[in-house]
Amino acid sequence: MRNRLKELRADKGWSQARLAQELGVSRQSVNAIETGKYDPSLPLAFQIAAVFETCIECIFQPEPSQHP
Amino acid sequence: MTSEIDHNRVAEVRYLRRVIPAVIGFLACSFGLELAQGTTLVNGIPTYGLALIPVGLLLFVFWAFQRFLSEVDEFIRSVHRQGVWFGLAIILIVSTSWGFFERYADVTALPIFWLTPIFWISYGLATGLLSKRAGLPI
Repeated sequence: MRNRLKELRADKGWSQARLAQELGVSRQSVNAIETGKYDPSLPLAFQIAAVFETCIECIFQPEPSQHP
Repeated sequence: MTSEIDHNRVAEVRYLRRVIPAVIGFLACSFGLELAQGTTLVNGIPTYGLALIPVGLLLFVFWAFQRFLSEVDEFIRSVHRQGVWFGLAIILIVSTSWGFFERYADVTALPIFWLTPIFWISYGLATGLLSKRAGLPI
């Protein structure tokens, strides 16, 4: 899964720790999501979308190979 | 406001405070029963009761582990779940291969209670490595 988390976070001028605090997760979780090592659960993805006031698919997109 | 990192740390400390004494008790009971086996100290019906003490401690450890997993955030939980998978894979490989060795190669029988320490050691090593790779405090 590709995501624009780093870009959106940079737009807000937030550190990973600040975003982690907003989301109620660890900084390592934010780092793992940003680097594509971990795909968040649907509830967390909704929470991320809510924090950035956008839609989930505006942040997360499947890799081209993941399209059916 | 308490941050989630602190929340994770608090959950970890709470888990370790519960589990470390239980694991020490489990090991002490296991080795104690092994040493006392066949002596006048332990034989007959009371042996069954004594053998249930480490089982009770093990149940407590799994309860504490489940509590810990429910208290940490989902990424940390996923790291620990991968560690559990690794631990399960190791005990299945060890028990299956050793079973074949016992049956066909006449090796010494491995007491089955060793599977528990083998699982926790394998899980601990895997989780430690995965945590280090993910930048999590070990």
